[in-house]
Amino acid sequence: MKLRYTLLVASLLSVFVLLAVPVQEVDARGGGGASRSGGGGGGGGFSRSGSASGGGFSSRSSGGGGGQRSSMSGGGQRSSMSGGGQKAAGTSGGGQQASSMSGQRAQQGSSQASAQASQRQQQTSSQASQKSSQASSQASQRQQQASTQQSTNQQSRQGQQQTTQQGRQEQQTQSQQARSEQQTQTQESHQTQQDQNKQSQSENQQSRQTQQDQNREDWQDHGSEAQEDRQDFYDDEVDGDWDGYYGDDDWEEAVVAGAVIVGTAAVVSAAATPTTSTTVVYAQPAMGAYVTTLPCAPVKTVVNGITFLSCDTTWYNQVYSGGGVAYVVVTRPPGY
Amino acid sequence: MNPDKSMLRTHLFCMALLLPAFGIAQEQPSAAAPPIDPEAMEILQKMANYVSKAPNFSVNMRAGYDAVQDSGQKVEFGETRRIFVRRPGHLRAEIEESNGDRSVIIVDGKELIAFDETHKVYAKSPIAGTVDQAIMHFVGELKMRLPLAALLLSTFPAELDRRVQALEFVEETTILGKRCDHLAARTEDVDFQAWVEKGDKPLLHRVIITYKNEASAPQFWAQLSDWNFKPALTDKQFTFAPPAGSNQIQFAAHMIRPAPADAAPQQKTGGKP
Repeated sequence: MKLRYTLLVASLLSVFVLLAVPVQEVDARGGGGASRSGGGGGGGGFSRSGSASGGGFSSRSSGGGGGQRSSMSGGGQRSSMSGGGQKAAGTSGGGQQASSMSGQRAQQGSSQASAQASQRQQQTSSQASQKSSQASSQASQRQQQASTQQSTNQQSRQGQQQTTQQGRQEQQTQSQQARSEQQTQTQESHQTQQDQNKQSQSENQQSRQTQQDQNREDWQDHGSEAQEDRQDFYDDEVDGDWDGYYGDDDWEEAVVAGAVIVGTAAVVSAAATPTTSTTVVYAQPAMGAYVTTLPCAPVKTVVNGITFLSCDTTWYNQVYSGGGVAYVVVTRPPGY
Repeated sequence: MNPDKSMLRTHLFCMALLLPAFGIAQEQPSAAAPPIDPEAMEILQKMANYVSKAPNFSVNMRAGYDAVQDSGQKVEFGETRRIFVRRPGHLRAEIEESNGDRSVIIVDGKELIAFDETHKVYAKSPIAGTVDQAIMHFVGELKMRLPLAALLLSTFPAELDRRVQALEFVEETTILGKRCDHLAARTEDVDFQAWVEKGDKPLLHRVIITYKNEASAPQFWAQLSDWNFKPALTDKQFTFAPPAGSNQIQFAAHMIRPAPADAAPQQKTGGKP
């Protein structure tokens, strides 16, 4: 009898154990999903990006999801991601090194381009100031000439009034002489001004030519370097997972969240009816961060051929990123 | 009947029933990847060689992909692409996304141009070279989207050969009215399935890529139709003339960006009294 109960208990225990194993597995699988959903979804629209959006035959981002996604938020990492260094986390060593190197090259290229652009801007502003000083100098000369001419005319008129008793013939002669002198002075003045203008134009042309030559050399150098970089990249990546595009956009959500705060603050200040000045506190998007939509109807400003969009004190440039157009927060252009 | 014997028989019967279940529970997916089926690889390589050796071709792609939201929810987005390739240096892709946004990618042998018709902006990048170099520059360096980019490379067979770690024949089936071989492949990063037309024209008609290492294992799928290996291609198709009112912008990868800083709250005084 005792053996019977023992066997029965053993049977029930074995059934329990065998049934419990799959249940634990289901719990374990479900855990990942629960923790992800517990992280809170983003407000607003659905994200269109993700690792599958690239449609590549490889994927450079490692598994693990949540941790990596949260560490990427904040905009800054996107910059390093575009260089490939951090994005290569979880890949094999070779590919990681190659993409990291490519990132360094991109950064070098970027800083070179930055220096060149800055140099060009300085040259442009320097030439503009030269042109400005030349123009003001010419204006000053013209004013002096006009002043001299007025003075001569006044003297001539005074002389005419003082010699009213002299004969009309003499007066006419004097007037003719005065007019003749005046014409001569005016002609000389015009000739001088034309000469100055010609000289100035010539200098400007030379200056512009020099600038164009410099710009052309800069761009040729830049293009040549970029071409070399691309060849290097092709050589490096031809054996790597070059198509492991990762389209995570958590950085966009982080910045958009900042924009929402701005919007809320604006509504609050508008709804309140204070009699004194209001203090508005808002989070400004991080410099260099990307957004897919702007928080306002932007003001468009073209500076040196580059279109800037501004919302309040935040300035943006439109860029092509991933699958389409995005906006990157940039520094305010000089003078604005 | 001896009750002990009866109980013992019952117990053994229960155990007999449960043992297979125990066996199944223990039978987890084997860590060892299945080998590459040589016949399946031959089908895959035949398809890849057929496309990569074609000097010119055009194809339509209807594709979709899972975008995994922060909540874990998977949402599918889609697009259609009309692709024209004229080797060695010309490529054109006309894209219409599921939200109606339209864009064009052109490689003219000297430059790579991406034009967003919706926003009326375009970006250029000098790329004097082959379609292969332009594609790798576009995807690898500029980090732009070009799904199934490897399919357009002259090195597509080598790309597959290098990546595929396991490959099996699944079945014979019909896709878009074409009799196809269904293959299932595994790489380090992704699993993918390919449906290759049987016969003299081993064309790829359907692909599903599973990003198995990513959270929620999102998928990309594409149906490829209207393959044409003698398309009437003109120079105009590979020439970009900026439409009136469009502005040139930069690729983000070319953007000169300052070092990002943390977003700090900023005080602004003033306001309407």
